[in-house]
Formats: sequence, C-alpha cells, structure tokens
Amino acid sequence: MLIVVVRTLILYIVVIVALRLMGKREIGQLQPFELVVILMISELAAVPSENVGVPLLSGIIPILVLLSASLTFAYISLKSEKARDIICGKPSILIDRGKISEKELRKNCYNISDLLEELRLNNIPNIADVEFAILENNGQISVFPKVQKRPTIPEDFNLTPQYEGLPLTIIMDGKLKKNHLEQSKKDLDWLKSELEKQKITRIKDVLIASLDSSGKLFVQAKATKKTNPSKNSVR
Amino acid sequence: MRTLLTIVVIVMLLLGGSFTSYRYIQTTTHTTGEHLEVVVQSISIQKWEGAKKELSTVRQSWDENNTWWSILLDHEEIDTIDISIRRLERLLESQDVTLSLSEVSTLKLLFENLHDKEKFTLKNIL
Repeated sequence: MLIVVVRTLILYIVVIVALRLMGKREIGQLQPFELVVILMISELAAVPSENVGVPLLSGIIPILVLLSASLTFAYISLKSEKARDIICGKPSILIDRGKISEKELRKNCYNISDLLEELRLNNIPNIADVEFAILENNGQISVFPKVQKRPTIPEDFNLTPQYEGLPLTIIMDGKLKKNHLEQSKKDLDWLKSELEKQKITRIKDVLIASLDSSGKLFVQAKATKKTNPSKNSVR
Repeated sequence: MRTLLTIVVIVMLLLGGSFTSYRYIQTTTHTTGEHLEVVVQSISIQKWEGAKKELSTVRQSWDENNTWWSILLDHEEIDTIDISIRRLERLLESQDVTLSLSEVSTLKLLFENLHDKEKFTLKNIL
C-alpha cells in the first residue's frame, strides 16, 4: 500500500510540474488542445498510480510528451497567425449586428435554445438587446449588448473618475510584505499608526491589510488576535 | 525563450532516454540469448553441469539488471521471465531433456519478445 502512496505522490508532483510549465493558460483551458492535454494527463497519471505492475516511466514519459507537444503548439500559435487559426480555430459570430447568423449556428451545431441559454447566463434575457454574440474557441460566448442596452459608464456622463490602480497587499496572514510596502511608498511607521487606529499592536495579529490606490488601508485582524497593550511594537 | 528551452530539453531527454533504453535492452537480451543458446546445446548433449553453469550466469546477469528492467518494462513480463528461469533451474536439476529444452525455448522467446516490443516499428506503434 505504501508503494501505491509513493507512486501516486510522485505522479502528482510530476503533473503539477507539468501544469506549471504549461502555464496559466492550461489551467484556464483557453484552447481545445489545452483541454485535451489536461484530460489525457489526468488519465495517464491515474493508471500507474493504481497499478503497481506498470512502470512509473510508463506514466511519466507520456506526460512529458504531452507537455512538450502542448508547449510546441502554444509556441507555434504564438508566432504564426495562420497556425493559430488551424490549431485553435477562429471565433464564430453567432449574432452579427443584431441578426442571428443561421449559417454559423449550423456550422457550430448550436441551436437557438443553446444560444438563448448562453445569453441568459450572460445576464441578457432578451435576444433583441444583443448587438454581437461571438462563440469563442474555448466554447464560451462573448456577448456585446446594443449601445442603448449596455450598462452606463462614466464616459457617458462626461465624467473622469480618479485613477484606480491595483490594491497592494501589505500584510497577509500575519506576514509583512516588504516589497509591497516599498512599492506603495509608505513606511513602517505609517503602517504602525494605521494599525493602532484599529487597536492592533502587532503585524502578526493581522489577517489581511490591503492598500488601495486612494491610500485607504483595509485591515482585518485575525479571529484569534491577542490585543496586548503593553507590547507597542509592530514588527 | 523559456518555452523553447523547455521543449528542447524534454525532447532531448525523451530521444536520449529512448535510444539509451533501447540499446540497453538490445544488448542485455542479445547477451542473454547467447547464453541460452549455450544452455540449449549443453542440454542437447546432456552436459547438465555445463547447462547449469551457463544458466547461473544468466540468473546472475538477470539479478544484476533487474532494477533497470523493472523501471523500463512491465513488471508482469519480468515476473514471467523470473518464473521461467526458476522452472528451468529445477528442470536442469531433474535432468529432463524434453522439458528443459522446451523451457529454454520459452525463455529465449520471452527475451526475444522483450527486444521486439521495444523496437521502433509500425507494428509496435499500431
């Protein structure tokens, strides 16, 4: 039994390494060939982990082959648009300028019920409100509503809102992220004073402290926080 | 660049590993086949001690290479060969010519099959 445990762990690590090398795209399964790789890798890893008679290499080698094939396809589709069209296919416009394209629906074996379902899942219950609906290569539908039906944006009111950058996590799970603190152009004294406003004396007691682009610090203490007034140092 | 490097490294590993493992299997099966041929000849002329000595060489070589074979090949095939070698050892002790010759032929075929299965042929791919 221990043999099965060790084999499974080895294959698990091999699969994780393979997926990491393939990158975030693989996990998101953006393209059909990536979905195929994920499915095949899971099958290939399962067989040697449960059958001790099969050599471990019989699982690892096919995984490496799939990894290299997937990386090759991804690299080729990155460099060549023509190859990308062949490997990944092209998105199909199912609704073009408010008109349903029957030809594209037939080509993709998409019926009207499927289309209406996808529109509802995109929060558009009325097909008349759709300007464009595009069936992407990963099977998802991108829906663009008509101008009068889309949600309003500040530009519609000639407003220029303040810039909103990415929030920076200054403290995560009790640990200070020094690089993020430097990036935010704040120092430890500032952080100390902000935490003291929330009656927190130690960085260790903070679950998360996130600084947004307007300079506001969101802080949440850990549920098991010990407030010790005698210890005023924020480490 | 990282992607290209990863692809190249994996391809080199696969090609190198395939070639090395094939050469290794080819060499060991060929050597074992030669020893088994000597066993056949010894049994035919009923030189039992000679046959046993040759078989013990096969057994020794088999035990030495067992680890690598287990990594490369199906364990069931390795177990089958193991069983066949032990059976042949017993048959040589009992000095039964017919059964010994039959077992040696089986053993030779098992090793030849191992070698043939690892060949890069259309038959093996399909």
